Order: sequence, then C-alpha cells, then structure tokens
Amino acid sequence: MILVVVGMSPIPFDRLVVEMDRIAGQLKEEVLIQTGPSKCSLTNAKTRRFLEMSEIEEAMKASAVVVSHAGMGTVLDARRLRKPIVILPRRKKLREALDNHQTSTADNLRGKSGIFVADSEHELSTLIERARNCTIENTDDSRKIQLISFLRELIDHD
Amino acid sequence: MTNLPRVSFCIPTLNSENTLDNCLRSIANQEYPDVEIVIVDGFSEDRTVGIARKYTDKIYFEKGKLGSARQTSIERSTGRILGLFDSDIVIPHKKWLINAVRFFNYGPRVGTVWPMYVAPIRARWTTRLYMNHYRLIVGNRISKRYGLFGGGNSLFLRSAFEEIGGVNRNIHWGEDFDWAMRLKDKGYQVVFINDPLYHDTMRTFRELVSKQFIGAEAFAGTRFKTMDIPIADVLYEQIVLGIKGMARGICLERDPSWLLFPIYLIAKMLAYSWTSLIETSAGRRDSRVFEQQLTTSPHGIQGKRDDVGEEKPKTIGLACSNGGHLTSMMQLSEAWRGRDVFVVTYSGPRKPTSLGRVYYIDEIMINPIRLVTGAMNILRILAEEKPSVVISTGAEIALPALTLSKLVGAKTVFVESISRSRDLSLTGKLLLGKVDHFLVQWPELKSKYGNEVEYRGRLL
Repeated sequence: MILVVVGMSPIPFDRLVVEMDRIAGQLKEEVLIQTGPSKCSLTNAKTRRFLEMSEIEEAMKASAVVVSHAGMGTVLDARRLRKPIVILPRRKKLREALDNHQTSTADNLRGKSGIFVADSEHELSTLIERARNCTIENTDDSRKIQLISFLRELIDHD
Repeated sequence: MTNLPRVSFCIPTLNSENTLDNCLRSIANQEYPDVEIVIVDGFSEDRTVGIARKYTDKIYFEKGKLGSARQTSIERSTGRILGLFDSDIVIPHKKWLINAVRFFNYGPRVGTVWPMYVAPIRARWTTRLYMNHYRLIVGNRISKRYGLFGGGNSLFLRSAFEEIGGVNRNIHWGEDFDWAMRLKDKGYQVVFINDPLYHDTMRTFRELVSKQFIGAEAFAGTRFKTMDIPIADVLYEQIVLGIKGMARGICLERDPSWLLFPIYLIAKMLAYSWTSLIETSAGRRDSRVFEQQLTTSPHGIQGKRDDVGEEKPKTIGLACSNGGHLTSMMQLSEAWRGRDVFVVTYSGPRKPTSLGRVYYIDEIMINPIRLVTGAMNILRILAEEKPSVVISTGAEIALPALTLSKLVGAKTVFVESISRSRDLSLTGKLLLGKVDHFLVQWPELKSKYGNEVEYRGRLL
C-alpha cells in the first residue's frame, strides 16, 4: 500500500493529489490519499479528507512507501516508523502555501536516508520505486535526545 | 469673587500647534479673576511658542521627560491651585473653573478636583471610542466604590504637591499616576466632578494602539496593582463593559466609533498580557506565598510549613495547532513523561493521542472576535491548570498561549519549527524576546537572531 498525505493545511495541494491518483491507476497496490480540501475528482485511489492521528499511524505501518507534502509532521512520523518517504514541497508561486518554507524543509532533508525529495510531480513515480527498494540506515538520534534532555531539565528544574 | 485663589495652568508642550490655541483660548476665556498660564516647551519646531505668546509671558524651555517638564512648570508658577493640563484639553464653558475650584471646600483633605473627559464635538472615531470606553470604566469604578485617582488634566492644591515633593522628574509616561498615588498615600482625597473637559487625544489609530502598550508598560512596575482593583475587574471593565458599550453605542447611540472596539480590545489585551498584568499577577502570587509563610512561621508550627514546601509537582502546559506542530510536540513527549500534562490545541479532524488532558479551542486566526474568544478560553484554561512551564511548537496559537502563560507565572518555551532553517516563522518573529526560552532547531539561525534564540538540538 502507498499512503499519500497533504497535511492539515486549508489550502489544497492538487498537484500531488492528481498525480498520485494517476500513478495509482498504473499500480497494482492500494493507494490511500488524504486529500485535504482538494476538490478534484479522483478515480483510481481511495480517498479521505482527513485522517485521525491513529489512522495515519496504522496506514503508515501498512504502507511500503509514504508520499507527502514537505510537512514536518508526516516526515517525523515516517521517520519514527522507519518508512521511506517521498516528499513534494508546496510552492508559494503555485498558491499551494503561504510561503516557501516547505522548499527549505525539503532542502534540509535532501540526502537523508529514507527521504526522497521530488522537485516536481513528474519525479514522483520514479522516486516511489527508488524508495520502495531502499534500506533505511539507523538514524542519528543524538540531536533529538539533546533537545529532549534540555526540555526535561527545564521542566524538572522548575 | 476677590478671595478666590490664583489658578496656575501648567502645560507642557511639544509641537502642539494643532491643539494649543483652542486649549489656551478656553483657559483665557474663563470667568475667573486670577488665572496664570505657564508653558514649558520641549523646543517645538512648529508654531507652538508663537501661539503660547499670545496668552502668556511665562514660557520656559526644557528638553527631557514629561515629568520633569511638569515639575518645572509647577516651580515657575505661583497659584495656590495648579491646573496640570495637557495641551490638547479644551474647557467647554466659561464657568467651568469657578465651579470646579469650589470643590476644594468639600473636605479638609481634598487635594484633587478631577473632572470627567469627553471627546470634542468633531473628534475622530479613535478619540470618541477611547473616551466612550473611558467614561464607562470611570462610571464602573465609582459605582463599585473603588478609590479614584486624579491623574493629569485635573486641579490640585499646591500645598499637597509640596507635601509629596512634586512630580517625579524621571518619569515620562504615567507620571500622573505616580503623583496621584503619592497623594493618596498622604491621605489626600479626590473629588470627581461630572463637568467634563474636552480631551482631543488619541487622534490616530496608531496612537490609540501604541498608547495602550506605552500605558501598560508604564504601569508594569508597581502602579497598576496599587490601584487595588482585582484583575477580574480590570478584565470586566475592558471586555464586558466594552462589549456592552459597543452594543449600546452602535444600536442605540448610533456612534460608529464603537465599530473599532474589537481591534482596540485586542491591542489592549496584547499590551496587558505583554506588560502590566504579568507583573501584577506575579506580584500577587508572591504576596500570597509570603502571607502563608508569615502565618505559619512565628510559632514554628513545623507541619504547616512543610505543607507549604511540599506542593505537588506542577502541571506542564503544551499548546500547538493540530497539524505537523502537534506531531513535533508528540516527538518531544519524553521530556515530560511522568508529569501531569495538558494540551491546548485546535478542534479539528485530528486529535492528539497519548499526550494528556486535551482542551480544544476554535482556530483563532479566522477573525478578530475568534482571536479574543480564543484568548479568553486559553486564559481560563491556564488559570484553572496553573502550569509551571508552558511549551509551544507553534503555530500562531503560541501567541496567545505563551503571552497569557506569563499571567499565571509560568515559564514559557517556544520551539521554532524544524522547517525554519533560514528565517523564523511570523509567530516566531512576534514572540522573539517575549518568551523565557526561544529554541531554534538550526544553529545557523543564531547568527541571524543572536542571543535571543537558543539552539539545543533538533528533532531530526
């Protein structure tokens, strides 16, 4: 299964949704698209407007690859569940977001094990196949532990 | 008529050509035998001094703080009664002064005769809104028998001012509050008269908003809490009375200036949470702790003292919107494992699991009213939970959540999104310097924002 996520933004992200529906027509496996406020009519994939956190978690566990906008929530979830993820950043110019912070997120994530950045929707199908066959290296958690310990100390100290 | 005391109108000016002529003419027109006008000008670059010369020879120059200019004007004046006025006051009728002066005979300790102020007839919306709301607040304080403070634009006994040592020369804003409080401490009384003066202040929206911040800042130290008005009543005056006034003003009085009220209220609440209320509630909290110690310590009732010391660990508050910011928050949950935690987030299709007690509020950035009601809800939650630390990972819900958290004395932490590696988010920019810990997830940002941000690791 492939899970497609566009996040909680009130702005639709049709570029990702439409292309993934097209790809779903060529694939044998199930594709579940969380569409958000998109109004496009989709024919091939299973769709849901929004998914509860627990549903996202279940769907992600069942997926071979996650495809998503470059939102940190989904990336962090995929990372935690050790699922390969393909991200397509929302662009301000195409009126998919209020600013270009997703592009900079994508740039920061580029090259990390298990994360594939698509610069346009046309790269998605290639990257999905690459992601499917990749092995995810153990992640370096030291910076996360550092952040958590700082907060922990701050909380306990008070 | 002859044994009426001399009244000295002491007026500081600075580029006041728009209002000064009307102000001085209305003073000169008073049917009163002995009036003196003293001007202390801060080196105006417009026609201010020329206008002043038409009415008085007593013009002095001084560059510096408002409190200092006022004190100079008092020292240069000779009257037994001081009219400490601003240059944007107009006295509406000729018998105002003779009426007002009589009220000094009301009691032996009357030091101040304090009039009501209203907006001039052709005032701007902002002026009218400010004065309309002000009138409601004063009325409320009178009906609840709170002490009234005669601030600026009132009449004072010179002897009272001499007893308190004059105006504090080091205060620029809130200098009137300072002397009013010192008069109160000496046991002087205020007579409030409902014979209004025109006060043509707050002529632009910008001024109206910025004065809220300046005012809150000025009261932040000690002034506000010594008014002896509970916070609940201050909020009542600002919010409930304001909204009632708005309904009444728009529907019955047909005064469109009230349409500006929601924005004015938001500015005011932001100003309060930023400055004065923070100090006030912290002051309150401290004094309560102090009282507890005081009542338990003298005879060494050991058990009770321990009760005070062994409070149960305090609650941790988390505030974030319901998308990726929530996911980021959950990734940090190791930091507060084992502690009592509550979450404030937006109601929506996605709900946090495994975080703790959850409070849902409506999204706040839809319209100004939502922002106010959202902020009020957050304030209520915070007052109930009394967290010791409040952490937010964004987005804009962090603005009300973290600023209001200071009200309840909580330590505030903002964790900027990991997606921000080159620039802060808008929320982040607005919170910069307003939280106890501002954590960024990319060390590069430190070179741009300096010591106001901290890098302590990142989620990935």
